[in-house]
Amino acid sequence: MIQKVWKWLVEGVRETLNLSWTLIGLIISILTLSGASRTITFYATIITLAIWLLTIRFRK
Amino acid sequence: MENISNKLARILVCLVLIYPFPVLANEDNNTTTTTTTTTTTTTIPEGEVEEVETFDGTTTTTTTTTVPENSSTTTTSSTTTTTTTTTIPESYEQSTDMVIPQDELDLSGNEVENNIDYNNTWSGQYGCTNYCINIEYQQHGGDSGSYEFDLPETTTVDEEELSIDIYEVGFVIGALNNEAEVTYTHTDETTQTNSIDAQQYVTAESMYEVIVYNIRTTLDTFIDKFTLTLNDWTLVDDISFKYIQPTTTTTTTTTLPIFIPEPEPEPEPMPEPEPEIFIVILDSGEETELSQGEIDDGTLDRMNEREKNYELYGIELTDAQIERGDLEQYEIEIIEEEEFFGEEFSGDDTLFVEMEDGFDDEEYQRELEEQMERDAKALELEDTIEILEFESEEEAEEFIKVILELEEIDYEEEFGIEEEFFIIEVEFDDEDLFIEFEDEKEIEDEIFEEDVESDRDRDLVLQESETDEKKFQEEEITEEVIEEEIFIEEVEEIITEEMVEEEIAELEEVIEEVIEIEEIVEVLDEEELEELTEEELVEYEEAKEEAIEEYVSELETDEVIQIVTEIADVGVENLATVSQETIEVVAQVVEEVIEIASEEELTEEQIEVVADVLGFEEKEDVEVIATAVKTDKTVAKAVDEFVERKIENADIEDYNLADITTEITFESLAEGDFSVIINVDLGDVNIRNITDDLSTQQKEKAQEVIVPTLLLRIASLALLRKTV
Repeated sequence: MIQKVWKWLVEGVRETLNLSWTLIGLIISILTLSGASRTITFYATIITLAIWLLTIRFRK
Repeated sequence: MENISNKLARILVCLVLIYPFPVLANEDNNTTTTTTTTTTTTTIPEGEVEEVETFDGTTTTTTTTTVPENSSTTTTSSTTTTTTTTTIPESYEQSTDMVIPQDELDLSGNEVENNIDYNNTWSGQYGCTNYCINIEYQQHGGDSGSYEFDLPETTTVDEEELSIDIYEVGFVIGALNNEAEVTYTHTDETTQTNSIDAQQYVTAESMYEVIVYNIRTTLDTFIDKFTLTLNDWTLVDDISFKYIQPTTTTTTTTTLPIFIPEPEPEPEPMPEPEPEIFIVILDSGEETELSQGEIDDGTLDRMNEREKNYELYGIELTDAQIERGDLEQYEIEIIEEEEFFGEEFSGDDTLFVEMEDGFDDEEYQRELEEQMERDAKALELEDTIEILEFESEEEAEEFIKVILELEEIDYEEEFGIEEEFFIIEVEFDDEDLFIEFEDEKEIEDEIFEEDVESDRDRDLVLQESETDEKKFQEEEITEEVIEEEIFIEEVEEIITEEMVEEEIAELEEVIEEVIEIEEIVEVLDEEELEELTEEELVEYEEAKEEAIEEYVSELETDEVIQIVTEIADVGVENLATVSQETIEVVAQVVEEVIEIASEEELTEEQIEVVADVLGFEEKEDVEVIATAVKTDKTVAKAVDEFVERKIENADIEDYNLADITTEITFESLAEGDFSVIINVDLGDVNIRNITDDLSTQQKEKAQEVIVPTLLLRIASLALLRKTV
């Protein structure tokens, strides 16, 4: 179980690194926005990243 | 029984429905309304003429004539309206000889103060139809300015200039936020000053008033001019004036016959045909459309005169207006003929003979000018025309005239080609003349004439010559252009600096008028500040800031707008040289005006000024930010620090409130304050209004970031799939 979690963590870090340019863009856009649109963009980014990482195996 | 009660109930309902309740409600009001119809009979005097200055080049003249009916003693008045419809011009165009205010010009022809503008931006609004005059252009509050409208003193009837007596003046005035005054000056030097109330904004279409001043039956004098004194950006249009059509002094003797037959009833007048429009070339080479009537009544001459005088004096006046001394209003001296045309022609015998031929002054002056131009050109061409031979003197004159006409055309404007160098082929008496025109600055003018048997050979010669000269001239022109550009940039820089200094001085004056900083806070000099400890310094700064904040928050909206207008004139980024106290006041005023915008309804003009200060292109952004300030602490902080940060980053192009918001968000996140992102109420948000709290600048910046990000992501996925 620990091994599985470890593997997922490693995969997750790798996937996140793959997404780094996209994430930078989204972070800059969060900084650029204000009000509700900023909060929504922030939550949308976090939730999508979480779903992306949780579905690594499913997507493969 | 049940059936009857049912029927009765239905009838009752019907009666209730039929009964006119609104009327009943009104009957509670015991006020008796009496409608009184007052019929005012206004006698229109015979021969009344009304001219309207529309600034659109459209002449509207209304003439009242009295037609006697047979031998009866009764008379019937009929009104004849003559309307000449022309295409709306590309720029404003006067339709009367009225002298209208113009911006003062310096010696270089630049506006000393841009407070008058003629445009059609507000057509359909504020009483403006197509073109109208903007007085106190982009000014809001401050010192009042006076704008004089000098009415014409003469009119032309049957080519005879007759004096007129104006007894009524009217005009449409709109967008007048502050009270103004209008002073009518009579021909006997007496004046009458009336005030014009400030107008309340309900809609842009209805915010105007028609002012009429009539002294026909009340005073034994006439109106010479009127002056508007106001201190707010105001639009004026449709200036009308009325007078009695003067009659010519022609006397006609008629021998009456003994028998007078019954006059036949006059046939129904035929509808007036549409005036035929002619394309006329003005002296300046420009084309314009005029009807025959306009050509006959001297409109064309006046247009030419205005253009000529604009070149001479920088003001569009007719010769008649100059003769009566209108130039004095602009503090311009009349240029004498000798001074303008050159002294060498002043004593010319030929001209003296021509003067005796019965030319009138204007026609003579025009002829004289053309003749001198031809003479000067002929002298100039004598050196350059080497081979040209003409069969007669008339042909030679004709040739020179053609050259003059060609030179007068602005090729760059008309045809989009540069005037510096080109060849024009002129066919003349079965000979091909190749004339090379060059820019006035060029050293040499050359005219090529080739009488070569082979056209091909001739073309080759010309092409080679042309290529060599072109190269040489292009190099010279490039160097000259670069030098000129550098010089212009330097001059512009100096002028801009001077203008900014003036504007800053004006801003400081206004702030001093409204806020006496030294009264509300103790301002310490540098030595005193050095003596303070760090804690004392912080306390001093805080106390100063609080005092200014409190004082500014108590200012009236008009006072705040007055300061904001001055800030807009200077530009926030140019405030680096002003004192710290002034910057703090300015920052506080900007914050205050946003608060005012969120609480009160500002006028369009006030919103425009606020938008100008904050660097917004869209006026709606002011409202967006005013709302966002209340709900988003990042935006509130950005507005608070806007002035300071804008001054600090004055060297960054297009640095605006959106940049400051981004900086503040980043700084908050860097400090670990995630509340700027999370603490936002999402209760009222739906997908349709998600971007309503973003200014246009923020939307643009977000687009600039998000679109490339998504494109990059899509491209990388596509590449990955291809690789796999």
